[in-house]
Amino acid sequence: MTDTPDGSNPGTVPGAELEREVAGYYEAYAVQLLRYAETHTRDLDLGKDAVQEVFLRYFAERRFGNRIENPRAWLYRVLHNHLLDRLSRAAMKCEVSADGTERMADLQAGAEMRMEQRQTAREIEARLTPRELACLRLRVEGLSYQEIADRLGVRIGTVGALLPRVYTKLREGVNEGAFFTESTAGALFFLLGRGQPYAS
Amino acid sequence: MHPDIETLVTHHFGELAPPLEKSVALHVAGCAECQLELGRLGAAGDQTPPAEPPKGADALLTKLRYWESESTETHSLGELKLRVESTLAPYLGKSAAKSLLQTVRHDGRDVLTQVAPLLTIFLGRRAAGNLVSHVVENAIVNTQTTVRL
Repeated sequence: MTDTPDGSNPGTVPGAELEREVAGYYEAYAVQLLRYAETHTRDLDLGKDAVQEVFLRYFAERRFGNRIENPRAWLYRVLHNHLLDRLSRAAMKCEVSADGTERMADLQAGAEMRMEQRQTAREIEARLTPRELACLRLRVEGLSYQEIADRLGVRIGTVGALLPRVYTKLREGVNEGAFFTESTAGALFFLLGRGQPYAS
Repeated sequence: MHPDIETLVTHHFGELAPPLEKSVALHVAGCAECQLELGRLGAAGDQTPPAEPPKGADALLTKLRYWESESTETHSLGELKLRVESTLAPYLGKSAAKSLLQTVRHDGRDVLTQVAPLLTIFLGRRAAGNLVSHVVENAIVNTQTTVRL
């Protein structure tokens, strides 16, 4: 990249100087930022991508002339907002991580059990609203109420109201005999791995 | 009202000016949500290495140089002002967005130099910062934004 200082536009930073600036902040803060990302998501690839994206945005913002008073705080803000945005969209789309899919394959044992699990998963999915289903998926993944609220962009009270409703519906399904109880756990793993109704 | 994330980070690192530090500390003492966020910031400062460390700065610089070469193609820069205007229009109105960009160079290289201070004056630091980030994300970094005027 050529060093091309633009004397007519003092707001922009020459190429080599900006690279040194960005590299310096990367060396200083990338590890902390990645750890911060890991407090929001267990998906390591998402965290690493997010950190790279944030530094690209820093570079772009400085390249086009913005002054950033507190780079460290800025980096955390942009990373925080970027993660919440990505996770919220992923929860709504019910994205699957490669790790979850591989785990699921280990849980499937026997054609009959698989059929029961699929049927139970369909029944669960039919009884829950999309928002309730997203909540259930995140809860089964082990997220706290606050983490679920952050991911879905709702208040923690909303999660507190949604999950008991989900549990009630699941209990009703079991009592009605709509679910094969032994396969409910397997069905929940199906729901973790497949974000849409199943094609058999 | 919660302090924004930048203020919380600055508070966490002990860099806030005293009057603001006092009011933020008072708020945090009674706010579970802010305490959770401060807990995350504390965990980020943990000395144990992350599960998978980030790639080195060289890999980042390669990515930045590639992005720079892609974004400085003539047609891309020529459309930059239009993309920025299109991104700002829903928030400021079409006329205001157009006026704001009147003094920006044709290639858009000084767009943030011109726009960011004005946005800060009219919207305040927090809102201006978020809007500038939105512009950078949608009109500069991710250039698939359709120009809508």
